[in-house]
Amino acid sequence: MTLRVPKAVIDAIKAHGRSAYPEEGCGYLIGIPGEPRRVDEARPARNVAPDLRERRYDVDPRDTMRVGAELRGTGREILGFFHSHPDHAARPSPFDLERAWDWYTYVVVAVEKGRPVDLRAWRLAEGEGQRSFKEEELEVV
Amino acid sequence: MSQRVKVILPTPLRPYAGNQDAVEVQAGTVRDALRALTAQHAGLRRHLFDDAGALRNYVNVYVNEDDIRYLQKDATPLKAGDTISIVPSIAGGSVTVMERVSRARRDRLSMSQVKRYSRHLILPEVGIDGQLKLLNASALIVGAGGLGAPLAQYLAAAGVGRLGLVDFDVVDPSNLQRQVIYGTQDVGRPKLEAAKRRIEAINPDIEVKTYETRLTSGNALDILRDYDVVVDGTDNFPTRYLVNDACVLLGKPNVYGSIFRWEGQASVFWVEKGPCYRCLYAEPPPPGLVPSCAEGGVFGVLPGIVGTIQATEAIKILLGTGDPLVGRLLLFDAMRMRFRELKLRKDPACPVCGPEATIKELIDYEEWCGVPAAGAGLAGEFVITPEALKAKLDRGEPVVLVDVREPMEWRINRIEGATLVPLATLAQKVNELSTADEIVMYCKMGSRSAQAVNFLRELGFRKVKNLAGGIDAWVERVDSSLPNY
Repeated sequence: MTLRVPKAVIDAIKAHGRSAYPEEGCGYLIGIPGEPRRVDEARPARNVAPDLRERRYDVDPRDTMRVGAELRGTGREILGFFHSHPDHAARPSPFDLERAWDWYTYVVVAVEKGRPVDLRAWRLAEGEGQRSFKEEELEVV
Repeated sequence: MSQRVKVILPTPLRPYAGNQDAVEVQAGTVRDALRALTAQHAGLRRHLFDDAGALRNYVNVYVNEDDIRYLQKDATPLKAGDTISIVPSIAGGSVTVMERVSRARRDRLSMSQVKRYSRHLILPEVGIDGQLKLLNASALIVGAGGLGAPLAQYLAAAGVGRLGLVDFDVVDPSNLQRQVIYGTQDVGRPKLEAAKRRIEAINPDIEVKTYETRLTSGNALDILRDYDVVVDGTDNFPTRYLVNDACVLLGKPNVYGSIFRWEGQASVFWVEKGPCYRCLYAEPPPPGLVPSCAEGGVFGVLPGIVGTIQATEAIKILLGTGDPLVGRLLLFDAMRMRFRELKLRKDPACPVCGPEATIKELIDYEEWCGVPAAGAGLAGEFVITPEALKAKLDRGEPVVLVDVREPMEWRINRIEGATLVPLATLAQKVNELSTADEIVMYCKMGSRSAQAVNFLRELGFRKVKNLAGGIDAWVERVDSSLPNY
């Protein structure tokens, strides 16, 4: 499982995490499915978690619907989502795991005291048995 | 009345609907539309509905632009040509270790704790409040060796509630001269196992978490993050720089200590208040320049002194009292029994903590910075294994064996037939060596002799080789009758 991302898009994800700090920032990973998955855009979304946005993110589903509608028929799709973890690890939490969808890539960026320091990509591991995340190989181009 | 509507599916659900991104159904309400959808494509049912038949909470349903939760939920009526969108609800979040810990804060001392910490409780600078602060605090000790030994014991005794210990080594007899947390019975055991047992014996209040691993750029942030203060008790430069950089990135205070023979250093690197380690030494030293304790030797009591100074600073930081060694480098000379201080300033051009920092991620300096096993990057023809050397000597081949160690080491052991030329004197003695001879150079582990080989090569020597692994490897693999140190 490989995720191919241009450096400019990685920088955009980090910049969004920095600007959302101390709240969790979130957004869409858009691009072309396949193996490797090719992301060409990271589009910020609104975090509409009703409170505790330092610890929770909720992508506005209206945005998700609109982005989905915009992309239909173009060959590009929502490949997954990115979100930031203020002052904690670039690793999905148990709650992230609970709410995770199959197939999507989840990129998490750790933002320590306002500085993005670590970025990793994850996907739900395939197969039956206990749900868990598997790290996706990140190819920066 | 039944209407023809289109149901749009998100990418993860398409495989369950024959890979279509939209399905047409006849239905009068949203509920009927979804039923019709799952009747056509049974695989969708468990993704959309839970066992009780209710729509899963991570699925949003829209009719045109409206969320059905704000219409009539699944009773929402449909018109011809309506579009139902199934939209993933994407959310997440987490709770950090620090939050979990802060929820479990201790706010009162037990009777036995009052007794145990009584000497602290009657100090105005500590008191009950200070002791509770310590019990609710945490410190990560990197390295369970000469510095880690006093650190772990004193921080445990002082009641620092949560201690982390990082090391992956096993207790060796040569440790017992200074690492007084270990006893003779611990030889051969993993250090962390023995240390944890000792800490628990000193103070059962302490929660000890051990990390039996090498610190790397991949794990340092995650490990250090969970602690209030980091105490650097490492014995090598790659880890020092890693710890420093991770502390800068995490904004944590780094209590630094180092030892060499009879001299020690201590300071507190705390980026929000002063300089970091790189403000002092921007880059690691070139390989082989600074010997390790195994190569240079160390006075056993010295890490006891420096380690307890570090413990003092760590406790002061956790209590928030006194003047920590921020911006000050404490230099200690055990021979002359003198303490000196140098002022340290933040370097405006510091690559990791300066305003124009270029280091934004952790770096693994790796083995080239420490004592390499086979000699710093020497090519095959300039290296010889102990076995090959033994074979040559057994065949009676003329080999000039040069030992570049110090006289003290030579007294402990040597390879028969060798001549002692301490590395620092090699330049003066080089005219006693001939380029026509087969020369093999060795030291304890192979790095000093690698430097010696490179030095001779630059002077035109071609038939010179480094003994891979040094006399250590010779004793281990060829002649175990020799004592080793």
